[in-house]
Amino acid sequence: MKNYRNTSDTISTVGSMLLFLLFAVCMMMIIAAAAGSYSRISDNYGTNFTASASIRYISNKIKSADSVDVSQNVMVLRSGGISNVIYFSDGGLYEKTVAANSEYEISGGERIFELNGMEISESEDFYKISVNVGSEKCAALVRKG
Amino acid sequence: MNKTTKRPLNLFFIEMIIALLFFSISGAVILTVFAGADRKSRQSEMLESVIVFSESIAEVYSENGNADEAIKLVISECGGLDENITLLKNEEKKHSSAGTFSKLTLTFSDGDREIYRFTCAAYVQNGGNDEQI
Amino acid sequence: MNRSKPKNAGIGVGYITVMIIFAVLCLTIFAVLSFRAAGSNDALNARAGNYLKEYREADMSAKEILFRLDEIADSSRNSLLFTESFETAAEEIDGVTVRNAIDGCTAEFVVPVNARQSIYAGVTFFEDRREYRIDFWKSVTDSFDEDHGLNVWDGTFD
Repeated sequence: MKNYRNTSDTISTVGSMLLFLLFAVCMMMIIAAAAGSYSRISDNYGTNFTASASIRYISNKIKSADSVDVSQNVMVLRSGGISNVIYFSDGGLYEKTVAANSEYEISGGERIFELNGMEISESEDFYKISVNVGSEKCAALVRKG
Repeated sequence: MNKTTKRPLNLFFIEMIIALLFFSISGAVILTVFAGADRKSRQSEMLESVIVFSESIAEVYSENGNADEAIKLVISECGGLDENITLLKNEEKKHSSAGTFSKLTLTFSDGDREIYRFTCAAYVQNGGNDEQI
Repeated sequence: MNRSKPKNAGIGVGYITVMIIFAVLCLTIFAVLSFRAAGSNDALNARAGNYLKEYREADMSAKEILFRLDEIADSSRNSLLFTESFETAAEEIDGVTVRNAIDGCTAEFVVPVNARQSIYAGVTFFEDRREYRIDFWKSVTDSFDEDHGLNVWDGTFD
């Protein structure tokens, strides 16, 4: 009789422990799902911000410049007595300010945005700016002149 | 003797039931917040792509004053929008002896919900101008 | 003697409550953070959308001015004195200033985009041909205003 009661107690104990374990695992999974959801929304926010802000930054620079030169993904914007050199290098968008018409090197600029890639091209009437941030690719056209 | 062994087990189950009840109520509230955040995130992603698209259309339209061509060019150069987004355009033109001033209103909507609406303009001289804006 | 038996009953009372409270707290924090991140993204895009609307409104006004100026230039070509006729009529438009240029007149105008930014344009209209030339059409940010500097000690004791 005592043996039977002991076995029954053991089964109850193991059962409740298993139930508790199941409960704990479910909780962990729910918390992990919530963290994943937050991480996705937060990453999305970062990606969207970087993509649209970098495009807007370059297009505003173009609109406020006196003249713009584009060659091999490097943009030189002249305004007053200074030139702003905007270029992509080493996973980032860089900007460098030099005196107008002076020689410049594509290095030593200030990092403005973290990007995976950037392309600036020009057609007859427009500049095309494309940026890659994470998996997102964003492109825009800006009128010349 | 039997009572003393079973009481904690019963308490454990009662606690579990109460805890699950509490969790299901708070979980429902939290899930609603998550769903709201997710919906908002999707909507703002849509708005962001629409704004970049609109900006390009406005730039092209101000160059040629032709809405259809502007939309076609932007789609071919920058890619289209989400297939759920519908685009409505309304163009008004004002003619004079010198040229045509036109206003283009674009309305982007997702089903019944209006995402974004904006108006841009173009001026094209009669007979064309090489340095049109 | 048998009172020590409940020890064998497995999980004690209270563990689940603690765990649930922890889980609910975690979920609440994540939900609030997600909602705030989505809200910030939404607010940022709303501001970008408003800016685009403001800029395009200003651009539209500037183009309307250009449309009227071109109309004036077109009719002024029929008069004997193009420069005088154009200048008189153009300066009636709000914010337009006209100066003489080689073979014609240059009209300059500023259209505010918002409190800090404006579109500044200069267009030259010629007496002998219909085409105009856009000298500049750019957005300018209001620069530092000398009149709003800080008052510092001028070196005198009153």
